[in-house]
Amino acid sequence: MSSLTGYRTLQKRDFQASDLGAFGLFGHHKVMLARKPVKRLFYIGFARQKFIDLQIVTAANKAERAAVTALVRYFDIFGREIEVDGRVQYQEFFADPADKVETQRLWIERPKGAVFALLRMQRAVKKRRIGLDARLVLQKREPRSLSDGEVLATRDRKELEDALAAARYTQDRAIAQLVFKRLIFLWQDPAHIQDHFLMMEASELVLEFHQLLGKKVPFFEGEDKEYQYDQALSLPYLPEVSVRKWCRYEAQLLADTVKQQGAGKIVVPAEAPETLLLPALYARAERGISLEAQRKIDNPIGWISAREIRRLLAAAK
Amino acid sequence: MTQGFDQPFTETCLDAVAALRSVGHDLTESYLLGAYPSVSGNPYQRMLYCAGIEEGFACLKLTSPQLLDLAPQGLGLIAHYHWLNRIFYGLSSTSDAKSAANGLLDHIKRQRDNGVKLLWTLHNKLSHHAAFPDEEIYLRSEFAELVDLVHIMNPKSPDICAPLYELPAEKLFHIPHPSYLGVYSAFESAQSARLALKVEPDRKVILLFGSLGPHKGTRQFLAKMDELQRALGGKAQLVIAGKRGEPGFMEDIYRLVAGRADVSLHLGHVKEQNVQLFFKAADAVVCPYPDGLNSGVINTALSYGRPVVAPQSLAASITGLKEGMYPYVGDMEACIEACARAAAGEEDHAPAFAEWAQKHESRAISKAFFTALKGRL
Repeated sequence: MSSLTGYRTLQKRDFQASDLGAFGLFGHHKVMLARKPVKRLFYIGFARQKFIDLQIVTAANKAERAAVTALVRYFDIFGREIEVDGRVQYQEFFADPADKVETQRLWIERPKGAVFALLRMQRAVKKRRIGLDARLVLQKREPRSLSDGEVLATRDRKELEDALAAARYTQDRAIAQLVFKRLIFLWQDPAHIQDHFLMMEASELVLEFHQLLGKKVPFFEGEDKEYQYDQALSLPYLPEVSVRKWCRYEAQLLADTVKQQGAGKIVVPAEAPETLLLPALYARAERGISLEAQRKIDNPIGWISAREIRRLLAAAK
Repeated sequence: MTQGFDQPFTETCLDAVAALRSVGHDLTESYLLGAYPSVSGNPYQRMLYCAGIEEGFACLKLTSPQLLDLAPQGLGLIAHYHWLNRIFYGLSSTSDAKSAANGLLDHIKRQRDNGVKLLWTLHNKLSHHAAFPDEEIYLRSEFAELVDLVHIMNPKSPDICAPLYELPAEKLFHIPHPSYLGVYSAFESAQSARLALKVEPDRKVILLFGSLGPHKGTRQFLAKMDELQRALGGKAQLVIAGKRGEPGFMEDIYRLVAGRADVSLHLGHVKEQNVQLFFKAADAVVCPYPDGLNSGVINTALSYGRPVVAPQSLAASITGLKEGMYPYVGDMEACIEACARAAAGEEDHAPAFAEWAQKHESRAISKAFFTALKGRL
């Protein structure tokens, strides 16, 4: 096919070199990748992150997802393998039509103690002509932050996941939404979809708090007795569970318990887990049960920032 | 409908004769009906033919239109054609498509000359994502001229198809698509179905069901998701279930769905026992197909007692149901508005749906189909 003109078929000598971890040792390569992987061993030195820029071309007229896969394994100075998170090891690449080809980045993230990295690369789609255009030399670069425009355009999963981590750190759900949208579109990874769902649940809970507090539910007329809410009644908050669902259920149990005990006020003591502030706040907003929050909030709860929770507590007074 | 296994077609015909005799049919008044193309992924043909033997019609699957030539003498033969675009599969040029169309037309002319009755069931105006629209229109136009009878499921079919080809009125007979009562399992409750699909009880679930493709308006519907969400007070949940479409189209779907927690994708073949989960979990089913003539999805939804939103032309395929259909005229705005009304659940259509499903149960429709056929042979 004309779009892959100039790409050579892998020869026996390429696979022989690959068996020794020496595929593509010298120079620039334009090769047709095979289902059989080619391997290359790198000395990775002490930089935390290194990368290889590559271009992957398909003979098809539309880009193909997961057309090429790369697996990176790490070894210490004695040749012992160092196990790392599978997310870092396994990378998928798009194949672009020849007239729209874009550079993609293969990342090598050095785990502690690693000295060598073994790259194994192969065509992942059947019956397709996929070309690789690259110089298999490790390059070094410091991590960078993506602008919003770059988030919308990049296909670098590592950079997007770094951007997501930064958004999580700053509790910026608007930026995170942009990043999630791009990540999910590109990789359809259930882990991203679930993570995004958890963030949207947090947003929905915050919205619900505002709606409930806006209704100004009358205060519950209970007895002059306090309920010390110092431990979860259902289960402790788990970051992998929807904060909205947990909060609503916990708040329901809390409100029922307060009423059963004839109390008229919830007190979240200073030593209680700070996550309990959310159900207590919900019981206040939805049922009108008085709340005294002795516990200070210093950390985010899932995707809800400490600042947001402080604001909600102030609004509930 | 027999499965055929690996036995020779002629032997299958002999089995068919034995089946007809076993219920006391006089073979001189019985027919062997060969269906082409036959489908196994959807139960439509089995539903349509289920009363065949008792009505004097042994219905057999044909893997090629020519197979019926091998049938033994002594029985009346009917060649029953369904999705004509099958003959274009695997072709890459319009000249090949034209040649395939002419090949089939020549074949049915020979069949007609040999006394075979020709029947065509019209499933759609044009095949979904037709690869060779001009050649397909030509084939359909000529086909309508040559066949003896055309079975339509939507009484508006002649009007809907008129811009592309003519359906001779004297050849038409209308037998509606059967309901799916007793075809798919229906033991789950709405609540257990939602639990299985991870949908919260307070959501207003709109279902888009069936193979994904550019002809079904899915992209246009997704583009209006924010409006649907507003119309349903932020409680809308769109569930999309069906086989993946071609990669370029799926890229659009992935792009539209990415970052939306209110849309859940269930991609892949839906097993028969899981069909109920999607329909039972739904508040309304939407079929925003711009060019639809009939839809098994509509009949499935009604059989599960779920209201349906569809363009008016497509909704016309449902006859004998006084309520529970939410037809719309115009663009996707009208569709969204109809969805909001259908999902609001303010009216109880359950008795009407149950009555319709019973009346259109497969066996009743199959009997009506063969009765109508006998009267015209």
